[in-house]
Amino acid sequence: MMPLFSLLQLTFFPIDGVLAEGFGLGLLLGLFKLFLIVGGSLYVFFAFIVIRQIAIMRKTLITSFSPLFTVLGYAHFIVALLALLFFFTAL
Amino acid sequence: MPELFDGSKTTSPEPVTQKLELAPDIAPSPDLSSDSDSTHSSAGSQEQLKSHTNDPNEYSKMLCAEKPTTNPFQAFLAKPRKMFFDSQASAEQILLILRRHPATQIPWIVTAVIFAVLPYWFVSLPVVSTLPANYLLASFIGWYLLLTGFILESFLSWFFNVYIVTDERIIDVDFVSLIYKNVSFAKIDKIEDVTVQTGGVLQAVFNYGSVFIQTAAEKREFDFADVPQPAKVSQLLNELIIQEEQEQLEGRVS
Repeated sequence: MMPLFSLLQLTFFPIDGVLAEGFGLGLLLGLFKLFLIVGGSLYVFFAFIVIRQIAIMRKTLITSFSPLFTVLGYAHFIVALLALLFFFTAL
Repeated sequence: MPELFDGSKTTSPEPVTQKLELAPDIAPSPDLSSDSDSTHSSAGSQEQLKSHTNDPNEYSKMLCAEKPTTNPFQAFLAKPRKMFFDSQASAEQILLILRRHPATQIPWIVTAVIFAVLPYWFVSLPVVSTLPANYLLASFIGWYLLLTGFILESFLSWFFNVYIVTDERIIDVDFVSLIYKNVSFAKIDKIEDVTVQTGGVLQAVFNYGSVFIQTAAEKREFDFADVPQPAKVSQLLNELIIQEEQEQLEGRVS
């Protein structure tokens, strides 16, 4: 079984990148990828909280536009999920 | 009995602060009084006192001049239609919903616009232009995602932080952050003092300001911050206070 450290190293600091473009750039890109994935994950959590918050807000003040806010919250959450998926796959 | 209309409280050292006095022309109309008489002749409970009318125009001369509002995105919603709040009683009627004036939202809107165009300037930097295309695209997506979150949060905060005046109470709904909600109520008859404060160029140009309401309720002061047409808000509150006093007096008489 591959050690966890090596797995992380291969995921975030691809060795081919290190060899091809030099250690500095490979490390930088790996850190950048790590930053985007961690940030994206946190953002997905934030988007989920926004959905919950919109539900509470909707109950507090009921208007004819309330359903629109729910749709907006879910759309925001889906976009955040897709972005995180992109960070995982495309980088 | 709340200490209303104390003459000693009507003077203010600050020129921009106006303490409100009762105007004789906003006393309850005779037809309203007679209507109240007929309603609470059987019993003197507050519910019965309040059940005499369903027309918001009967509460206030100010409201008579205002058209019912159907657009929920306005900052000054007189007699709003199809709008309710969670703890609203079945007989309770919303007379006015207030938000911060749109002019107070300019800072975050300008910030959002600047942050929206900022990546196009960053791309021209030599350090950024050396990034691989997929990393550049990912950073764009991340940036605009953050911007979307900022805009959404700012808008939701503006839209749902409201001040509500009903025929029974004043309500201050505060969503300070994503996880903090604070709703304060005070009955109209607990209001002791109403102060209107305006000042500054923007407030003078766009006619908005703050209305401070001192109460005898658990929350001592309500701050309707940066609301449009603060003079009208205070006028409505005064009219409601007078009517509440009138109803209490009539209730005791009967």
